Amino acid sequence: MIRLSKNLLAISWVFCWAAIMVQAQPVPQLTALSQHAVQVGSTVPIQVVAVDQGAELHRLMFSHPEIVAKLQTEPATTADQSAQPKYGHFEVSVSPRVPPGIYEVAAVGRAGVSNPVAFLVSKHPVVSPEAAAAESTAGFAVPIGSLIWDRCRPEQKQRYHFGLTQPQSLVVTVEAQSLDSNAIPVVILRDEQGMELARSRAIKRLPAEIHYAAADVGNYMIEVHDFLHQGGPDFYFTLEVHVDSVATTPVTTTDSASATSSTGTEAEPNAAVTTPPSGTMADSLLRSVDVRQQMFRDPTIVPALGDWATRAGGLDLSCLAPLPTVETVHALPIILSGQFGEPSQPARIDFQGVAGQGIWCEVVSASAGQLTDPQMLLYRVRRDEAGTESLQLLTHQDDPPGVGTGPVTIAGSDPAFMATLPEEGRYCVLVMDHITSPRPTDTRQFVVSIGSPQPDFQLIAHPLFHNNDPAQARPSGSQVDRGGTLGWHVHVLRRQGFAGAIELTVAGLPEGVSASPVVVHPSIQQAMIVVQAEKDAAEWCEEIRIVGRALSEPSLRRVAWPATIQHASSPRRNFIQWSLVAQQRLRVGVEQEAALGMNWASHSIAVTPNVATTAVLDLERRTGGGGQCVVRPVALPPGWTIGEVTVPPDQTQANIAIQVPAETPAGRYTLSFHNETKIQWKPTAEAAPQEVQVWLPVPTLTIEVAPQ
Amino acid sequence: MTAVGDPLALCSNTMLATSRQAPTPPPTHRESPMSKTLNVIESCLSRCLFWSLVIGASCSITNDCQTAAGNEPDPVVAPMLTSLKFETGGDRPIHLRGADARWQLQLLAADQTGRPYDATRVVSFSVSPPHIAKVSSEGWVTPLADGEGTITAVWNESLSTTVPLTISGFTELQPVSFNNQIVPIFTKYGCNGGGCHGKAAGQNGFKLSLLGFEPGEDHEYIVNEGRGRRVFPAAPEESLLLQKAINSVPHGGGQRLDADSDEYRRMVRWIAQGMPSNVAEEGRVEQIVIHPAERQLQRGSTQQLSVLAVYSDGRVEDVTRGATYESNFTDLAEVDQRGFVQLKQQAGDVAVMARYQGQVAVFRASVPLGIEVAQRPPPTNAVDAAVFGKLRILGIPASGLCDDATFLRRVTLDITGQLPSQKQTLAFLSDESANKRAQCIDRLLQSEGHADYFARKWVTILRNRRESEEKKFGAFAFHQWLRDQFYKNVPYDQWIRQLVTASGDPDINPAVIWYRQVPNNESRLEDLAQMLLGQRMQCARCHHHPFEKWSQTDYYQMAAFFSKLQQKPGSGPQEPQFVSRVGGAGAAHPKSGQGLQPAGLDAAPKPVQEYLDARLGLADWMVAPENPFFARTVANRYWKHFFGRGLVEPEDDMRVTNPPSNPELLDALASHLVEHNFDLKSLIRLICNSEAYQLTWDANEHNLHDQTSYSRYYPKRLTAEVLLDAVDEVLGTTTPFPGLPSGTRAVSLPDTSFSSYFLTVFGQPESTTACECERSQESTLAQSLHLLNSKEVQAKLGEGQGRPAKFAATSTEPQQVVTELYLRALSRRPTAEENVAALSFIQQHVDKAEASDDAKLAALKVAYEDLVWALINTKEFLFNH
Repeated sequence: MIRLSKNLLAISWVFCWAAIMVQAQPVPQLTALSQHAVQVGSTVPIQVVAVDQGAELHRLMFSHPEIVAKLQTEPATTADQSAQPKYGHFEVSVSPRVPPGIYEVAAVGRAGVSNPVAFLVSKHPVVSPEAAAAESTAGFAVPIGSLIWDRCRPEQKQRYHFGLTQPQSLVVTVEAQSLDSNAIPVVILRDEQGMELARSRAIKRLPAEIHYAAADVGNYMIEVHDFLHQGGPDFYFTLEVHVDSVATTPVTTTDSASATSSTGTEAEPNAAVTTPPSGTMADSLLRSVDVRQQMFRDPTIVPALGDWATRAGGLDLSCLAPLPTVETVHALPIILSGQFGEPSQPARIDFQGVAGQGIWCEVVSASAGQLTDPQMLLYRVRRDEAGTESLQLLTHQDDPPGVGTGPVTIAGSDPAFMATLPEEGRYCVLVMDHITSPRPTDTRQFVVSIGSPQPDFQLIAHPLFHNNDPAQARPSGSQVDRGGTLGWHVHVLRRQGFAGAIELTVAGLPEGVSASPVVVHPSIQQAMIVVQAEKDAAEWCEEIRIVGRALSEPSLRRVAWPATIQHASSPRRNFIQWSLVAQQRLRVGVEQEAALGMNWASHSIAVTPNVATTAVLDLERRTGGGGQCVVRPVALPPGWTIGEVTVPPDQTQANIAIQVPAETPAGRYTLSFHNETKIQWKPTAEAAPQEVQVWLPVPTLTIEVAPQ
Repeated sequence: MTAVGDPLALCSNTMLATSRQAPTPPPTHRESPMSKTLNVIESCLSRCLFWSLVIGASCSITNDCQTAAGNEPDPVVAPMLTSLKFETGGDRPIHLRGADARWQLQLLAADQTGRPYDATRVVSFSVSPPHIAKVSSEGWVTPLADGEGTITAVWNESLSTTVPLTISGFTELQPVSFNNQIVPIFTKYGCNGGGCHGKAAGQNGFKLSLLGFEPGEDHEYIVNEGRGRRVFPAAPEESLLLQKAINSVPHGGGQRLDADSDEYRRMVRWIAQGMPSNVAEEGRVEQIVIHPAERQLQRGSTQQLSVLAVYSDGRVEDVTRGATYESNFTDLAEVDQRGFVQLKQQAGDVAVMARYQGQVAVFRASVPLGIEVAQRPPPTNAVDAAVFGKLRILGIPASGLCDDATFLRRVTLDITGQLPSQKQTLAFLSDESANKRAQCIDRLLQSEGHADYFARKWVTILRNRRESEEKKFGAFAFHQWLRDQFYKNVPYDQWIRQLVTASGDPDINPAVIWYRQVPNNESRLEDLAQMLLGQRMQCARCHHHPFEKWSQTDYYQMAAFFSKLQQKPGSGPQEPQFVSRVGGAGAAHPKSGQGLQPAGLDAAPKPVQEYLDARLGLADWMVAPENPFFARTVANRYWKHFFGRGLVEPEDDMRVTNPPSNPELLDALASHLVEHNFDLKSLIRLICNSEAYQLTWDANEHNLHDQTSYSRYYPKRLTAEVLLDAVDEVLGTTTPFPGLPSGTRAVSLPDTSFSSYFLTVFGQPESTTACECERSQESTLAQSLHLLNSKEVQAKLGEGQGRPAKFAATSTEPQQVVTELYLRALSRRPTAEENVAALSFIQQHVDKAEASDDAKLAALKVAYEDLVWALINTKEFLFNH
């Protein structure tokens, strides 16, 4: 699977500082291409149609090396002129060797490399109807077996029609959010007389889908519209009418296990190419008959389940035992799969435990894209002499605690907790689903695991926010200018009792660009990692990886999962939509030098608890970097206080007083800061400089706390 | 059909109250309706304000027409009686203990036909020996001394009857019970009502518990509060409490008691006795019994009621004059505060509620018209059996069946909220199959229009509205979820279960939006009880329900079902999730603090496992077939939808003190629903296939004033959304709703937050409560003016893409235009007279125009606009009849 599910992430916003109106750092924010779906083996013209800061877009970067884009050119207008690049217009070629699937594409321009968006490679022809045809009463004729690429238009319904010459079982599928579209598609199937036969609305990343046994020959009509009747370039969707002799059988993939090898260890997930399953259509890439295959085909889920199972001898995913139909006492470890049923009938797993035994209990369901919201309860099971059973609640969890204290908190809805068994005896875990509405069975499934804890961690990295106001948050690309800095926010998800320090590094950086390692103290769940480009760094744009290593166990290494904002909040849906993505890219920009250089006089300083120390940050003011600077710490260890420092425009040094609390354990800490200032920035070579207020990441500072 | 197409019909009550058979139809309404139409068109073509005002003013009284005429009570003329007896207690002696005891006599007589007759006020009473008691002309017995004797009632010197009387303890000093003898006085005279001292803050510094439900608090307020200044035992008559009551010192509420009354004297004695808070070991009222409980009475007759209180210590006391009374249908009967019921000239069923010390009892009277009803064919279904059975008892002859055109229009509007299309009308009228009406009902129930219309009906009482754009997704999703339930015909009990137990993310489970819209557990309980059970529990939140048996314990036991409900963050601030937390479900009694377990109304508390959502138990209890409220409430609600008046009115106030007009019919509907697994479409089929539903609106000479027995179809004004859609349908126009595709019908709107003056002026509810009463079906002057003169309607009439313009532009034959407009607006062809008049009118317009083709076309368009304008302003169009 190339595209990663966003379901692991449910992001809620928390204000930790007063909201300050600061513009986002000027980097490209890609929203939509003219077409996000292409047939394998074809070459099609594609235009970037919705982008912010999209000056001089000259390159499209795909997550598959055999999808390539060539910048179009405009013929020379005079004899002495060469062909001029037609920025934002490309010829995209998909090699016949590219397996159908959902990939990613990012646009590269003067301001940097954009956020990635989904790009679908289909084995079927992709048809883009004329707007007028789909808007007409009769609608656009759908060639069965092809993929329709279209957009929702505001306050309109798109209409399509097709005919059947014999009774058929139909599957009508409209994908949108899985392709990073802003649309919430609704699809309605009507008969020749216009009578509604069935309708479906997309839920989260699942498509709107209709399974219908069409008994009548003749014409059928399909209507598609955005649920809130919005529209525009980023409200795109694909429509497929699939004729199936067994319509009630959901579409399956033919090679659904091919992507299950990724475990989130350092080698993955950011390998250049992850071969997707050889599915046929977008739909088939997202769901499967067997939820277990679906879950573990998705690499986001494997680490969620826990590597302990893998390390304990490998996890044969196809052999997960289903929940027992009768009460059975299991021996640990347990991995069972099940399907949520009636709200009054929780799934129950009994096991035998011993006094003082530590266990890790976890449910994986919502994070695997299931339409569920599980909760889990751990009980001590007792029976009296008459055999009457009583349950004593030991602990329970609905949602695991959120991670992060900055503007973003990451929270999931699959429960996972540690527990210590108080005595030898029988215990049971109840697993229940909060959601009570009827849903297809293949959206109500879960895996429950109970066993000895195997300490582990996960990392999720996303571009730094340049504003505390969620309403201002937008999809963000990345660029480090020569002599400048760029940072990522890294969230640490400690699992199964892992409580050690983690060292973060950046792998894959080019020459002239570096990042100081960052140590994430055990008490901290987030960090900032900063890359810094030399003044003479060369232009470069490729993938990088942020890697975490447990200091206490060097073999425990994890690659941070990149994440990006898909859609900013809107007045109608006041929240930000996120997605995990396949690759984290970085561009080193050479068009203009960074307005401000920042370096610590010493990148590492030793401090003694309760003794004040001063760290000196040198500011190199360049063209456009003469504004007042306010340097603030970010995500300090508990108990630490460091005040912000204001550096007037005529000064070039920030003296930051650091005094660590007396009880601080000895060890290495990394402190992060950002610098709020105004810089002069040129969106294009010809444009006049603009003054923008930004938060610039300051290179990290290492603190060595001496033993007392 | 009379007066069709006549804008003047708006000025009259032709459609509603008069008919071809009506005895005195206003002559102006009978003459040449279409010529009248055209005259009006002629004079109103300039959108004359004069006509608007006349029409509007008349319209506003339309709904009163039916009840205003011919309903004044005739003087009671005693019939020739053939028997006479004391009713309460029969031949048993009356035993009064103490000077405070009283007794209400009731004399039951029979007339020559054997019908019962209340003779209480037409006989003369005498007591023997006369010194032991006196009896008023109203039959009110007051003891005067200890002794034994008899009371004799004599009618017309020809009939007499006697009952033994014993008086004892007259001279004994009887301790006055504050709870049982003083507090009821405050209730009887309205002192502790919600509008006076019973409100939360009291009145002018003096507070009483509402309706005396907390006598302990009342005693404290009276005796100790205000430094005891309200009572003065040394000179009880000088007590401020009494001085105010008789208004000898200024009292905002005026005089409430007479200084010569029994109540006054009792209060004096209580104060003189030192204001005891209570009498030791005294009983409390456990029940009140009303006599008679049920009776068939003649129009214009009277009935004296008597109310006996049964105490927990076994005592029985006459509290007829201590109780308060209320008639549920004052058009049929009124009752005074002495329990004297006076019937009017209207036939039907009426109930009189008696209330005393938190207890209630009901007297039900059946008032026949007394006309010999012809034998009908055997009823086709349970509805007909119950309706026509009742009509036979009441002696009200039903109107005949309506014609096909009327039926089609009626049933299409009632099931789908839209007019039948021209094509549908023509097909139906030409269809000669015997069961075409049943087929039509089935077709309509299958349509999207039905799902849209009933989703609209329910979203308004499920409070689906959005105060901000952020709530749009939830509002749309909830509406769509509801529409799906109707389109897929999900059994009522199932989707109600989903609603009541809704949990999780609104994106996945949009039913949880109801919990967002109804933001606290008390409101949730109250809304569900009112919507789904027909029980208004709001009162019981703070005190015992004044008209029902529900106590605070009942209230908080039911609220306990929601006690585990918890909101947690969802996708966005306005899309929260609702889940049940782990733990015990329960609530504390607000006064006693007693822990209460979840329990349904009249159901035993049931513990809930800590890991289960307590609402599952609520849903189990609620939708159980044996639940006495659930099926009956929705059956009544649907009955009202189709008949315009519920068997219980209001439809969501199904108190024991507000009984159904036809209990057998309500039971039959509820049973049908249960037997058919809560299939609402099946219920609609049952109703719409009945002859009762298919009766004409046209009154015969006997049933004009019938409002409760369904002897004819009661016309009802189109609701706001239906009317707007109907206007658009006839005109071939659309109404834009921001953010929705062009052509979206008003009945398809997902919530009530779309701004539309048309919808507002015609009574679209705001969906701020669970009460269907929020929807106004009143007729107002503003409505008339809007239809006649508003820019909105004028713009629709002149719309370039509208039907008049298209007719004119396509040179459609005027004859065809007239026919099509009548078919679209009224679902029938024009009569010959209407046809001639309309064509003549059109021709006149064209003739008056200048000679050019353009001028002729323009004149033709204006003529068509005027014709449509006239049609949409007719009562025949505005009402579903």
